[in-house]
Amino acid sequence: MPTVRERLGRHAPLFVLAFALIFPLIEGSLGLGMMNPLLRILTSVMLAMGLNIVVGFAGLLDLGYVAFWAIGAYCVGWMASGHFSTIKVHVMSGLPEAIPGIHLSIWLIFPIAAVLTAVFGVLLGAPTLRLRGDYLAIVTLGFGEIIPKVFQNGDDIGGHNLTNGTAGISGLDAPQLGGATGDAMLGLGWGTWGPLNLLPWYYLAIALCVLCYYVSVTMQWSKLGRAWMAIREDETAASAMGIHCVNAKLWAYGIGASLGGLAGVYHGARIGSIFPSSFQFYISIAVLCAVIIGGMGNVWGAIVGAFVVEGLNFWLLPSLTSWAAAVGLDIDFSSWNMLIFGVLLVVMMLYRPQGIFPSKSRKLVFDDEPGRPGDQHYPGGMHGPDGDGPHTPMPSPPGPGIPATPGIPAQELADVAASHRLAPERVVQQPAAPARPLPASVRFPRYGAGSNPFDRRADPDIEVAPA
Amino acid sequence: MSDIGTAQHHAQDTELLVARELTMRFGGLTAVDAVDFTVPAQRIVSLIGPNGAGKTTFFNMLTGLYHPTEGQLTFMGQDTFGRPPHQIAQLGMSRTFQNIRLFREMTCVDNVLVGMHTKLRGGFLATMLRLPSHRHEEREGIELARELMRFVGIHERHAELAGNLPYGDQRRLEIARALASRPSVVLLDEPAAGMNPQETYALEGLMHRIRDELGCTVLLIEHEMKLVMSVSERVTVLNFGRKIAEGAPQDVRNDPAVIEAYLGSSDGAVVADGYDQPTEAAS
Ligand SMILES: Nc1ncnc2c1ncn2[C@@H]1O[C@H](COP(=O)(O)OP(=O)(O)OP(=O)(O)O)[C@@H](O)[C@H]1O
Ligand SMILES: [Mg+2]
Repeated sequence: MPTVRERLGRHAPLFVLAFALIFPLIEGSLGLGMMNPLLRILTSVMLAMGLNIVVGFAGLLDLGYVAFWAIGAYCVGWMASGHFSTIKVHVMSGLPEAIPGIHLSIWLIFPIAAVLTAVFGVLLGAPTLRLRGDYLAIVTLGFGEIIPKVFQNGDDIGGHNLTNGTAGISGLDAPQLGGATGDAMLGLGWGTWGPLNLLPWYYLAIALCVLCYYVSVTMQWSKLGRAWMAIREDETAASAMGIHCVNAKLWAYGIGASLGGLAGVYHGARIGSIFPSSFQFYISIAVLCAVIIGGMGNVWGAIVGAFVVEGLNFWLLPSLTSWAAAVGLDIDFSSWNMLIFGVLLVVMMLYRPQGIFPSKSRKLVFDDEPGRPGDQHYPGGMHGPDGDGPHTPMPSPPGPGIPATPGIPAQELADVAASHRLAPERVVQQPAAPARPLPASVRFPRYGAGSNPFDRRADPDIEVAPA
Repeated sequence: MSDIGTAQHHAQDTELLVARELTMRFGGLTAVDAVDFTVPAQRIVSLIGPNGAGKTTFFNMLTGLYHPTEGQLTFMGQDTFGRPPHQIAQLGMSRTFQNIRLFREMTCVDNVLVGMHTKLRGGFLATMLRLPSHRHEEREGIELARELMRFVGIHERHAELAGNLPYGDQRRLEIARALASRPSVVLLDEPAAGMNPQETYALEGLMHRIRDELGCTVLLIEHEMKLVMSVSERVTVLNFGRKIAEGAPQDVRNDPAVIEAYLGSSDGAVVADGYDQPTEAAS
């Protein structure tokens, strides 16, 4: 039976989600004014979970993760604005057909951008596959710098204005959910998403965070997730286990990038305009810090890390500044963020290098834990060759001795004693346990015992080694 | 009980693996020099030789970790010369490492599950949607992993991190991980290194069980001569990258070339260091 603590632990994500769902009520009634920073923090939570897949699970140090965030944001910029004013494409946009530009419903842009950023993740990841450690970090850093530069200078690509340069893309469509009738739904004003009505944005962010969490946790304990961790631990051993390291890494880049892309779409749509200058190296570092401070490879670590790092950036420091102003002090705490950050990192690395939540291994609970009745057939597992002849179990003499594996002939016991420079009687013969072989019924999930052509047991016609 | 030490290499045996004139050069150093080697099905065969003889290098070529310089390599009827390790693993070859290479930050069960990689389907959609097929596969995989850990005798440690196991258990976990892909050949690189005498003794039994119960060939590199002589059905000796002897254990141990390789002269015996009593354990 799981203990109360274990049960609470298992359902902790649901408690957190329930709290997140009612949080706006608390926030509204207390008038904390946290909503705006909170939306930005939640964006970083998504980013941290995405980066955790690449850095935490697969161990690929990526310093250019902001690139995928930018690509996601530009996706919504292209597909939900009047930027391409020469064409008129409307898909479920809820806007008058006469408005020029590409106008897709944001609910379509999310999946499109997820796929597109995944493709970019694979494309940018491919050249780095042979690199490890520092070299990988430098190359990804380069990509993180190149992508925003491409957006910044993309206003004249062969005469086409792709990104509108430093001015960026603005006037993005506000999302629609059920159109004007959506207003009636729940009275939350779903029809009017905007700076004055943050509630829909909040719940959308929570939904995306739940999605990122689901993807992370599902992948973590799957064949692919284990392959990532194996590569992180020892790439050579992983390949000897049959793992196609190149493919597995590309999957990590792709899935990690697509989560970053989702966050980018969300961010772009919420801000309503996109500027290349907002996709700076600093953001990659902040998200990486979130993952490291939280605990690499731990999904909850990434979430909490993002709250710590970005909470500091977007809520605590600005709040401190305004509180200081309220008492007549003119201190801009926000400009101290890098200092505080640096100190935080150093302190973490000194006192808790594994992060707030160290990458914890899955706890499997079996109903037949060792030591319980029904599992006493395997005292040592390995045992001597069968048919060594009868041997009488000897009573164990008191005092320290070497417990010998059952089934060892007397001659061998004497050898063991000699090699340990012990008197022969100090080597203890344990009572023999009934041997139980690996049952023939044990099958691999897909391949039965009969599908291996070299599995002699499957084919009675082939002579089996003398037994 | 197979009669250890006398079993001959039968001509009608299925040869799982055939290496012809396999050569590995590192710059000027020829670590493995035109070695012919075959691995019969369901046998225990050993590869021995002094330090630096090229044994591990030979394993690395068989498993694809090294691209051989020259020669031919066939495994399960397929040309595996220069193929990447994951493809060779897929065909049913699995190994342990001389200097243990477990996934230290993963639990024992997860280590074995990684070993099962080639046998799990793990489709992307099935995983993402957590379809019943995926959950079923995971459950069965975990059950099998526990069976294998039981098989090697470390079942009570399933939840521990592999890196926290004592040395002997790490070696056993590596074997369990290697067996998880249900290979036709498992390559063990000095599995007894660092084991105490009981563990070494139990290892011998384990190798027999791998052969007899799992129907898997064991290819063993080992310096512990007593173990090699009692467990092997055939022994191949390398020295300076060359094959200097091959045959039944007692023939090899009395081969003057082998004695010379080990002792530098022919007036000793391979077994001189305390192992001069022929093993009579097996009847
Ligand atoms: N990657 C490599 N690069 C260069 N030389 C190598 C490499 N791997 C092995 N060697 C050399 O090849 C020779 C054979 O090494 P190998 O590890 O195969 O020996 P071994 O028989 O396994 O020895 P031991 O019993 O000590 O494990 C040694 O001289 C070694 O230095
Ligand atoms: Mg070696």
